[in-house]
Amino acid sequence: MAEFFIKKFVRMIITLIIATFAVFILIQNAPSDPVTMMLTKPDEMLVSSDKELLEQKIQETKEEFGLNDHILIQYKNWMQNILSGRMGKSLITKVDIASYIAKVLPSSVLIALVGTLLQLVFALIAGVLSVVYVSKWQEHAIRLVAIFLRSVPFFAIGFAMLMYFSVNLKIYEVSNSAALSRLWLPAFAVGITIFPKLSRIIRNSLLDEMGKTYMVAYVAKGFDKRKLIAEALQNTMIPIFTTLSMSFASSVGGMVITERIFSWPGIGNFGMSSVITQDYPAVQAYVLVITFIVVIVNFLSDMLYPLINPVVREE
Amino acid sequence: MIIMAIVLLFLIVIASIFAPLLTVYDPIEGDSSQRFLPPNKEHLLGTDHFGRDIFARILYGARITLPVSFTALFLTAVVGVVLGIISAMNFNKPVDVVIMTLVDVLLAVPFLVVAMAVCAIFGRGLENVLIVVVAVWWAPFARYTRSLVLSLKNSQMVLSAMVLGASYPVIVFREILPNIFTSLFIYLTFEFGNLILTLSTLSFFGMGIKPPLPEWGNMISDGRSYMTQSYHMLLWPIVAIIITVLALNLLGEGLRDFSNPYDTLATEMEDVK
Amino acid sequence: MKKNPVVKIEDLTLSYVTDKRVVNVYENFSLVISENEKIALIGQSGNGKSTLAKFLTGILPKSAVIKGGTYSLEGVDIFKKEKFLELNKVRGSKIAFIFQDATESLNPIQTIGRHFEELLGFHQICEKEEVRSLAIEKLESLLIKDAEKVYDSYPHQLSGGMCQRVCIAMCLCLDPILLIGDEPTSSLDVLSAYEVIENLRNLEGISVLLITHDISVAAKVADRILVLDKGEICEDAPTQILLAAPKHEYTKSLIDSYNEIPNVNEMGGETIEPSPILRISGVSKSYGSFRVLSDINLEVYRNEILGIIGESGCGKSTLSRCIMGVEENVAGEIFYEDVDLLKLKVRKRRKFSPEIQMIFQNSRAVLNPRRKVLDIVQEPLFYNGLYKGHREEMAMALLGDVGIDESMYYVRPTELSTGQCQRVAIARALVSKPKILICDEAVSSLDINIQLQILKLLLELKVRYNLTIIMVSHDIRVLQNYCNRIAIMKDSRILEIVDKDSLSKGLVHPYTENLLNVSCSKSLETVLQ
Repeated sequence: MAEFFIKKFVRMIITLIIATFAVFILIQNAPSDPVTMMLTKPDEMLVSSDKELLEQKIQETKEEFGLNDHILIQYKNWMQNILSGRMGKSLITKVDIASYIAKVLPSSVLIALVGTLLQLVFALIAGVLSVVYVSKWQEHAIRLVAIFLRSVPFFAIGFAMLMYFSVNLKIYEVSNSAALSRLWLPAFAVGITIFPKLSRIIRNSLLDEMGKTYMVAYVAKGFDKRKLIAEALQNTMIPIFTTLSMSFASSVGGMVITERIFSWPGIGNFGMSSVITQDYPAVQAYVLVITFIVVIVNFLSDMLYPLINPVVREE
Repeated sequence: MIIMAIVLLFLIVIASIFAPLLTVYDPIEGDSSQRFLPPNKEHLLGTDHFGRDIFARILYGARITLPVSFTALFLTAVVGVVLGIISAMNFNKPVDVVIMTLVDVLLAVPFLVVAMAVCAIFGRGLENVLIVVVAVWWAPFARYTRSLVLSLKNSQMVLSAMVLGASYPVIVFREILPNIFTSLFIYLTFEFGNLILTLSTLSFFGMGIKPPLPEWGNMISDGRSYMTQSYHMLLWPIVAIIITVLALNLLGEGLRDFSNPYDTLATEMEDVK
Repeated sequence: MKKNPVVKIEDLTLSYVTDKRVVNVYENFSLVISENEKIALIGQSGNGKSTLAKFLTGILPKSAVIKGGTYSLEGVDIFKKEKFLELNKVRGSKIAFIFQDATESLNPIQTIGRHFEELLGFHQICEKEEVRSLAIEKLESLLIKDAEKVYDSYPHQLSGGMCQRVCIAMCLCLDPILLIGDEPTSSLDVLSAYEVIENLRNLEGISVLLITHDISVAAKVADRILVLDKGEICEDAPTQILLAAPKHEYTKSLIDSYNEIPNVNEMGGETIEPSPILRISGVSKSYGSFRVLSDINLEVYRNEILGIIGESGCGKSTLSRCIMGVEENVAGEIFYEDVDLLKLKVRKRRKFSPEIQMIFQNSRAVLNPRRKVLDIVQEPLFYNGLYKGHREEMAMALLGDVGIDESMYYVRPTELSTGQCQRVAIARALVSKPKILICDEAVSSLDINIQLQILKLLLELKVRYNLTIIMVSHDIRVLQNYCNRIAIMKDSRILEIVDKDSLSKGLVHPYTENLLNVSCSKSLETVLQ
C-alpha cells in the first residue's frame, strides 16, 4: 500500500517539476524581455546616447533581479517565490497576482463543481436510458442528440444561451459578479455540452458489465431487470469516478470560454485577459496554478481509486 | 449512419474543390457598397463587413480550414502513434517511462490554456497555434495507442509469434498494426472533429489565421467584432463548422458500430421481466 | 422403485439462427429427471449440452429459436407454445445453476457475504441478521474450512475451486429442486475439482443435472449417464451398467480413450541417457512482490519426455516461458548446449528460436484467423529467414506428418476443429526442425478421444524427428506413464522429480501421492469405488 502511494507521489512531483520548468523556459524565451518592457515605454523613440544609458540601466536591473544567474538557479528562485505565494504583480493592473488568484479561484471551483455534478446527472440519465432502451428508437434518438451536441463549438452554445436567456427571456442578468443566482446558466451550459462523453462511457460500461458472466449468474439466480441494472451501475461507478475526476480537474482552469462568455470572474477569465494584454507574469501564474491543480487533483483521485475498486486494493 | 456521413463529407469536399464553379463572387475583394447585407437572392448568405459574399467565403474557406486542420491532425497522429507504439513495446524501459511522464505532463494542462499562453508570448497567428497543436496534442494519441498495443501485446497470438521467432518490427507490422488500425482510425475521426472545434474556438478569441484569407476561423473572429451589424457573419461559418464536425462524428459513430457491434444483452433483457 | 419426475421436457426443437446460418441443435428431444436423481449429460464439446442447461434455466441467447416442445417442473408448465412462462418464479428458487468459470460468475467488487445478503434478501429467505449464520452453515456443510474468512473475502482472493463451492453453497440456500452444473469442474485443477466433485456427489434431497465432457467426472457424481450425440440421446443407462457394457460407438470410444490414456507410451520403460540438453539452475522470477518461481533447478535429458506437473499458479507455465525467452527479469541460468539463454540479448536469443519450440493450450487463439493453414505453418521459417525457396515443401511435409491432408492447405483456422487446429500448431512448431518441443497444457482442453490421438501423434513425431519433449500439465494421469520423468511443482518450487520406478513403488512426496490418489485410476470402473 505504502509503495503504491510513494510511486504515485514521486510521479506527481516529477510531473510538476517538468511542467513548471517548461513554463519557466517558455516565459524566458518571450521575444520581448520583461525587463526591457518594464523600463521602456512602447513607442518611445530613443536617441543613441539615451540608448546606451538604457542598456546600462537594463543590465543593472537584470543584475538586481538576478536575471544573469545560471538558469537553474533562476528556476529555483522562481519556484521558491511561487510556492511561497509571491507571484509578482500584474504588468497592467499592478495588482498582486497571488492574492487576486486566491480571490477568483473559488468562483472557478464553484462553477467546475456544479458543472461536473450536472454533467453526472445528465450522463447518468442518458446512459441508463440508452441501456434500458438499447437497440430501440429511444436509444438512437439519445445518440443523435449526443452526437449533435458534440459537434457544436462550445462558444456557440454558450453564447446562444446567454443571448436567449438574457435578452429574449430576460431572466438572466448580465454582469460580472460571481453571484449564486448567476451560477445556473453557465453550469447548465457546461453540463449539457460535456455530458455526451460521459454518457457514452456509462452506456458502454453498463453494456460491458451486462455481458459478463456474473450478470448471467444473477439472472439465473432470479434477479429482475431493475436489480440487474442496479448491480451494473455499481460496477460502473469505477470508470465514472476516473472520468469525472479528470473532467473536474481540467474544468477548474479550462473553463476559459465559459467564464469569458458569461463574464464569470474566475481564474479562466483572468487567464484570458492576461493573454490578451500580454501580461506575462499573470499568464505565467495562471498556467502554473492550473497545472498544479490538475496534477494534484489527479493524484488525489489516484489515491482514492483503491477505495472504490476492491480488486485493486490488495495489490 | 455512415452512409449519411460519407455523403455529407463528400459533398463538403466537392463543394470546396469546385468553389469557383459554385459562386461568382470573389472571396477576398469585396464591394463596399454591399456591406452587411442579409441573405437575399444575390447573396445566398449575405455579405460581410467588406461587402464580400459570405457563401463564397465559406466555400473558399473550406479550402484552407480543412486541409490545414487535416495536416495538423495527421502530423500529430503520426507522432502520437509512433511514440505510443514505441512506449508500449517497451524496447527500452526508461524510454517508456520518459514518454509516459511526458504524456502525463502534457495531459495535465488543458490545451486551450497552453495555446493561449503561447499566443500571448509568441504572438497570434495560425503557425503558432499549429505548432502548439502538434507539440501538445500528440499526447492523448500516444496514450490511446499505447493502451491498444499493450492489450494486444499480451495476447496469445503475439506471444506465440514471439515464440516462433518473430522480431519486434515484424510483430508490430504483421500482428499488431492490422488489429489496431480500425480503432485508431475511428479515434482519429473523432479527434479531427475536436481539432476543428478547438481551432474555431481559438479563432473566436482572435488567435487564428490573419485575414483577409477566407478561413472559417477568422470569419468567426471577424463576425464577432461586427456582431451587432450583421449576425450572419458570425452564424454561417459556425454552421459550416457544425456540419463538418457533425459529419465527422457521424462517420466515427457509424464506423464504431460497424466494427464493434455491442450485440446487446443477448438474453437477459429479453426474458427478464 | 418409481420416482416422481420433477423435470420433464418433451419434443423440444431448438436451433440457433444468425444472419450467417442456422444450426439445428435439438429436434423432438425429450428428457425426464426424477426426484433426487443425479444424472450426467456427456458428449462432445459443442454439441449442445450447454444449450440444454441454459434452456432449463431460461438464459438462452437471443439467437436461439425454439419451435415446439414443452417443459414442466413439478408438473407446472414453464415452457409451452414457444413461450417461457413465469421464469422469475422459478429461477434460483427452484432451479439453480452453476457456471464453468465460478470466479467469473461472481461480482468482483462484492464480498461473498454481500452476495449471500443480496441473494437471500431478494428471495426473502430470512432476515438480514440471519444471513451470515445461514450462509456459514451452508459453507461448512460443504466442508469448507475457515468459512468465516471465506464469507468476508472477495472472489479474486479465493481459488477457482473455492469459488465454485461457494456458488454451490449459495444455490443450496434457496433449497432448489434441481441443480444444474454446466461443466463445473472443467477449468479447475485436479485437487480443486476433486473437492467440488465430492460436494456434488454427497448432495441430498436435490436432483442434479451435470453437464460435462469428462466421463470420469460423470461417473463419480451421477447415478445415471446420458450420452448426447448429434442432438439425440444415443445412450441412457445407470452409471455402472453404462461403464461395464456401453452400447453406442461414441460411448465406447470415450470409455476406451479414458482407459487407454495411461498406456499410450508403450516404450515407457526405456531408460534415458542422462545427458542434459537443457540445464536450468537457480531460476527465480517475481512479478512485483509476488514470487512466481523460486530457485528452480532442473535438467532435461536428450530425447526424453519430461513432464512438469502442478496446480494452477505453481509457476509451470512461467517456467516454460522462461525457457522460451519471453519473460524478462529472470534470475538464474538456463544452459542450452553451453549457451546461457537468459544472458542473451533479444536479438541473439531469437537465433535459438528455431531450436526450441512450443505449443499452447488454446490452439485456436494462436493461429491467425485471417491466414491460410499452409501459410501459418511456414511462419517460423519466414520469421527466422530459413530455407528460402523450400518453405512450402517443408510445410507440406509436416502437414502430412500430422495428418492434415491437401484439401485443408488453403483453408482458414475457423473452419477447422480444435483437434485439427492443434495439429496445425504442432506442424508449425516442428517445421523449423527444433530439438526441444515444449507442450504447455497442449491437450488439456481437448475431448478425451482427441487427447489420445494427439498424444499418440506427439510420440510418433518424437521418434521421427528425434525430439526432446517437455510436457507441462496439471493432469498427472495423462503424464504418469507417458513421461520418462516428471517434475512436480508446487508454489513456485520443484517439489521433487520422479520417474516410473518411484511412482510405481510409491516413493513419493505426500503431495504427489495425493495427486495420484485423486486422479489416477486404471480404468473407469475403478473410478466408481
